[in-house]
Amino acid sequence: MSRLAERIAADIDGPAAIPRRNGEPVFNEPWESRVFGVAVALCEQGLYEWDEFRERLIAEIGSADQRGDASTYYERFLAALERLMLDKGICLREEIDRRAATESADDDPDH
Amino acid sequence: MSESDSGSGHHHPRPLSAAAARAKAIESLLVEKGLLASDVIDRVVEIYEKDVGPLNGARVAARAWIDPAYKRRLLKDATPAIAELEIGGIQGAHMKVVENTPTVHNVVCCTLCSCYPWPVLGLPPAWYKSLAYRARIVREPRAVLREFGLEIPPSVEVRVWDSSAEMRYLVLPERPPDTEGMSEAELVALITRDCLVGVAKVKAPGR
Repeated sequence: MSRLAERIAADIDGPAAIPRRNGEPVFNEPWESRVFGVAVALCEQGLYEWDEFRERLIAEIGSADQRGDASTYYERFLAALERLMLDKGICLREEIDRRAATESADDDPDH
Repeated sequence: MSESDSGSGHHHPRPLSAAAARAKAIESLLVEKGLLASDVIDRVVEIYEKDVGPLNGARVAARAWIDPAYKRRLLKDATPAIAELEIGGIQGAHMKVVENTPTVHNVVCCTLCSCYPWPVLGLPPAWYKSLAYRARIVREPRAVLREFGLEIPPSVEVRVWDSSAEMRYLVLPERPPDTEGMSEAELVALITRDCLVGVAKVKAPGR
């Protein structure tokens, strides 16, 4: 996170601290906030430009809307991030597939 | 609901959804490759989820209400005027502030995806990102605003601003009557996110 953003954060803890989200949760599930954080952090570390992510997000949202897909916003956000990571050679598809299978298995209470 | 009060005897968490597993996989791969540290992700989430929120936008609007010279600068060129309040952003987009008046009501959307002025409003709410809002607010803004509980009289013009990577919009709401004696901090507390997107009006206290 940039120093500027930290300053913004520090600047708004004063007496005028009102409910900052007006009641509605920004993220519905914990993984949504993680994937958001990953996308922003990778951009801040210079691995891509935000517009490169945005282009892919627009494409994911557009094609999902067209298909009438019931996927959620953050599922599309995740798909856009994956696409970008593959395009940039940051990760391989197989790597993600394999690791996701492991994460699911680790989480399975019967194993 | 906590696990202990479920009474079902199942104390295991719900299995991960496919998306949750992939998100976790990506994060752990990046950490392993040394491209990201977990605490960097924590900090980004913390800042955007909790700290950088509609409060910044409310500060901008309240300042404009009490300081006519600031308001002129803000409406003329919002990006530097917002920076005067030490508010900036990671996306480098230009900001434009559009003023509500007795004859014009402004409302903001992003028809293509979810462009939103993060530095001043935090992250967009779910409805902002929905297909229904993105498609309908342009086609039938008055009907959509009515669903938000906001009736715009036919004599008032409704302007819809479609955000993009290059330009993000913030609505300067009308200052409610009977707030003349209020301090800047008190005014800030009246201004909600929805007012700054243009789907609500600012209400004076006790109304």
